[in-house]
Amino acid sequence: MKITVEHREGKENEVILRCREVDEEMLWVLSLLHSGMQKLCVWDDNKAAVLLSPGEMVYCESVEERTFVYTASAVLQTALSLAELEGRYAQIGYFRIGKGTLINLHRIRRLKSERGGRIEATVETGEKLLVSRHYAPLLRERLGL
Amino acid sequence: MKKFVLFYRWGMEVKYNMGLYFAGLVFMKAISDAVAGRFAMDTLILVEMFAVTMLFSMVESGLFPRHREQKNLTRNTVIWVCLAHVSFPGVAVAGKWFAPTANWMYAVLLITFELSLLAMWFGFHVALKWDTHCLNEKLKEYQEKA
Repeated sequence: MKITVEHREGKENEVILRCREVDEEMLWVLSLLHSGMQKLCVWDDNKAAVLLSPGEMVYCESVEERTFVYTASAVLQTALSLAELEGRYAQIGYFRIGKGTLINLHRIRRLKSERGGRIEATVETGEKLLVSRHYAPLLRERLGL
Repeated sequence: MKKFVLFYRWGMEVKYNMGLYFAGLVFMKAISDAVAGRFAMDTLILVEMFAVTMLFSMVESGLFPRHREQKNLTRNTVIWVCLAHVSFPGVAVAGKWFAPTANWMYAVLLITFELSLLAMWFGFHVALKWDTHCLNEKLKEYQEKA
């Protein structure tokens, strides 16, 4: 697939896909663009709703059937389950690291190999999250190791 | 509740290491006893081994914390090696864990112990660090690719 980036004047960025037919590759690009643009409706402690772009999320956690979304500066809640978030944003770098935690791979500062095959991930907020023994090999595979 | 969960997690990690050390000691004792023609172990010695491995693992968890930033790695590694020599060969001699056995068997046990320590040092300080380096390289590549 040929990728061309054109710089031109205009109020809004525009993506045009040119293809002979909508094949698997095109569908993948479309779904990537779609999920990347799909903003998530979240709310804070005061129940004030905000639309959050997926790139702003650092990690998500499920606690007692509630899903919390952690950004660089706030802890918010969403109505979506962790599985739904994973399905929606997996293609843009969201990765399950435990039964109750989903992490944005683009917001990881560093990784540390731990005893017992586990991996410790330090996110941009400085928090340390543990990638469980079950998910660590999948993370290695995802990173191409 | 949070404190209890943290304490429980710490306990599980200590018990995991303790189990490994205890299994190693029992294995060495079994070999030593078999060479001397004995096929039954003294319960008191097993209890002593259990206590020593548990205490050692508890101190070890303080020297190499898993959920806090590692400080003074070189100093703590030296303390860990010294403590391992006092806790295992030291207490083994004092508690006569492997007696009576041939002198060459003591040499074999000591060499096995030193090799095990070396393997652990390699595992913690070389293999894990190399793996960490590879993970971060690949993470960087992944983040730059997107």
